[in-house]
Amino acid sequence: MWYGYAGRYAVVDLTKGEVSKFPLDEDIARKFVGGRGFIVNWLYEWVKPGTDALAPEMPIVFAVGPLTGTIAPSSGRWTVGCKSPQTGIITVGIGGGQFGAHLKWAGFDAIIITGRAQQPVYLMIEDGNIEIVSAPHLWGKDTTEVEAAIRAEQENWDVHVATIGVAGENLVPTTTILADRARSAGRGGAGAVMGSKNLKAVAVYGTGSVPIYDAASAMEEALRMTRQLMTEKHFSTYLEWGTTYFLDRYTKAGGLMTFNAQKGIFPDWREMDGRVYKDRHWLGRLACFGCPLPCSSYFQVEKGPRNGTFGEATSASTLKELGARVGVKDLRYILDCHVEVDRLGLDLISAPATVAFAVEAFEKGIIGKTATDGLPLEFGRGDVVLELLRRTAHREGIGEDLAHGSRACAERWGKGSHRLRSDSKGLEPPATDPRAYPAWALGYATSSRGACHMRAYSVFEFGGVAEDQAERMQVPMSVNQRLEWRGKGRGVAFFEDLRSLGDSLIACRFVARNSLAFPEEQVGILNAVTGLGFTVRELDLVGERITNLERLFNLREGMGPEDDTLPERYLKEPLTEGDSAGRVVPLEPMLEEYYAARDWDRGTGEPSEGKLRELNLISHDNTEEGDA
Amino acid sequence: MEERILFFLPGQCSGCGICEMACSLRNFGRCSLEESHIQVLRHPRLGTAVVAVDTGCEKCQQCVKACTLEAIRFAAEPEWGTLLKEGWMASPVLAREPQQAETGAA
Repeated sequence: MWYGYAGRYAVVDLTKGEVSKFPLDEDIARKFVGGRGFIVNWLYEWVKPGTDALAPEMPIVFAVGPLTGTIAPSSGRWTVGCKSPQTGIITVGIGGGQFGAHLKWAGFDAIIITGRAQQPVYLMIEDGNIEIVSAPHLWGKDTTEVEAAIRAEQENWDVHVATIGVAGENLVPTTTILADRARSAGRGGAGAVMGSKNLKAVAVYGTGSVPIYDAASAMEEALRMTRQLMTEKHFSTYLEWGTTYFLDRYTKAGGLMTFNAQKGIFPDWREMDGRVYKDRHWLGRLACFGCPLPCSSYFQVEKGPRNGTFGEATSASTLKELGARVGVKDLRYILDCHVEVDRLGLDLISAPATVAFAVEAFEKGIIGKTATDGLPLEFGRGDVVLELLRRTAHREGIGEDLAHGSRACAERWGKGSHRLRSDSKGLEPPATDPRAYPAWALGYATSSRGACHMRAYSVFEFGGVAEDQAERMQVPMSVNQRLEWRGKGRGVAFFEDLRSLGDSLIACRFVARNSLAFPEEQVGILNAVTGLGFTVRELDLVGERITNLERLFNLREGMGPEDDTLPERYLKEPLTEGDSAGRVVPLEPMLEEYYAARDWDRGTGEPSEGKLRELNLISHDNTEEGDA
Repeated sequence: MEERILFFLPGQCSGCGICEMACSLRNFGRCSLEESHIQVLRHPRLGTAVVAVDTGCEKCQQCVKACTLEAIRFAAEPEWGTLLKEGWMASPVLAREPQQAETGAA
């Protein structure tokens, strides 16, 4: 009898039109817990190295965790993972909304999808059944339209849909998958992988229940965690502002990538800050399922070029990526672009980052009006940004280049355009300038999917690490100081593993932002829910195992330690304004510390044999000795 | 017996559903929307929520304890007028009983 888990996963072969269901293996649950752990376990097993990310045989995996759809704080989250067509390495995304909880209640811990349907289809998952539904009529629809269409034809208004937009259909690598219209996951092209399978959407409806091993303890632990969360500093600010109020802090630090990171302060930031959003556009609060700290909201743009635009899920990224990075100060355009990004199914970070890269390339004369079909590119033009996003999704004209991200553009355009890049391993970071945040910089460089701020989410750099936490992390208290680098190599490694575990339970990054990120805080509810008797030590190892197995996946795909780096702008050109003026990223000493903390070889990038043995991954070793 | 009824504060409730998890866990030992006496009726797009309750509710208060937004509360008659003036709404009562979920976990 399973508690917490549905105890079952499915494999869907779209080429054959077959659905197979399998019991979950307890050994996998113990070693990888769920969510992101399950995904890397199966991707490592299923993906033949070197295979094109868009080949029919490539799997894409949706998974939830043992805490999904339960009383645990923030139990609505889901994960999706595949090999990325943008980077050629692994990508696992974590999304919100209601979709994840319904997948669990429908009776599945994971869905592995392979093959390619002959015509567009979607999956309808409902209470133990999975149907492959013909869907040519949904092809070409945007993410909001798809959800409405599926709800109408299923005659069920509580169906929750994870879908791609037209960008995914067009196999654009800078795409994600959108659940519940606006809850994005799978940066690096998970949307294109779905598109390559002719899979427009995965729809779920679950009326089942999740059995709980020890109901009283689970209740007690959930309430204890929630009370603890409510005492944390970020609770009231997230509740009031979501994540949109943060521009003050980035501006003071001079670390807000502006005009494609040519500057660290956006002069017009007060015109598009969270306060303006709240004042002029905010309509109400929105929560993911089971969230004690709802940070999402919905809004309407009432005046301006697109009067009446309605949208949701605004975040700091909305303002940073579609505002400062591309130099747009008109919040109406920013919100308009936010809606368009979600409806087209583009990545809210990589797509605008590539637009910003193109605008700087245009300003520097690297590309001209011939490349843009006469469109003049300049910073601060919301209409230009909107048009370039549209061309990206449709791969029209210059959009054919932009679709592949900024690294691919630099390779195509040459003329020194690589100096304008911001990516690591081919994936662009958010518009938080790494020169102002050393731990974030290292996190961009070491992240298993390219420059993602959420792999490590090193909030210790914003201060507030208590002495006992520093001791637990084995780092000096100076990690609390933003511009100090010592201890941050070890700190980033530690936090990457915390996040790997959290993504497997699954716990939201914002709920488990600070104290609740530690396994000591999570083990109680996990055991009350599952009855599996995990120890803190085991959970530490689960997090580290996941990070290491993602590393092994990437090494097997040809990535090396030289890829753990940042573009030269961030290593050589100092910031010029704000509290970080004069700074570049002190990457090398942090990397040394990180590799030592990880017990990875600085020359080959490989985990040591001792580390693999400790993590029970010795059979996953890529080297000949490991195969022997 | 003193009559206590459930009120909710529209606009404050985020529709997250923690109250439903708390109810089903307290009363049935499982987590499920179907097996909850409290029912959050959400608009599928806007998420706007109306909190309803069924006739089986024993007013155990577990839902109230689980809500971080303090968007629901049970109140006795002397408080009703004040709450209504403050914008609280009395929760509709549904003539339903929770159905034991047949599916879900294998």
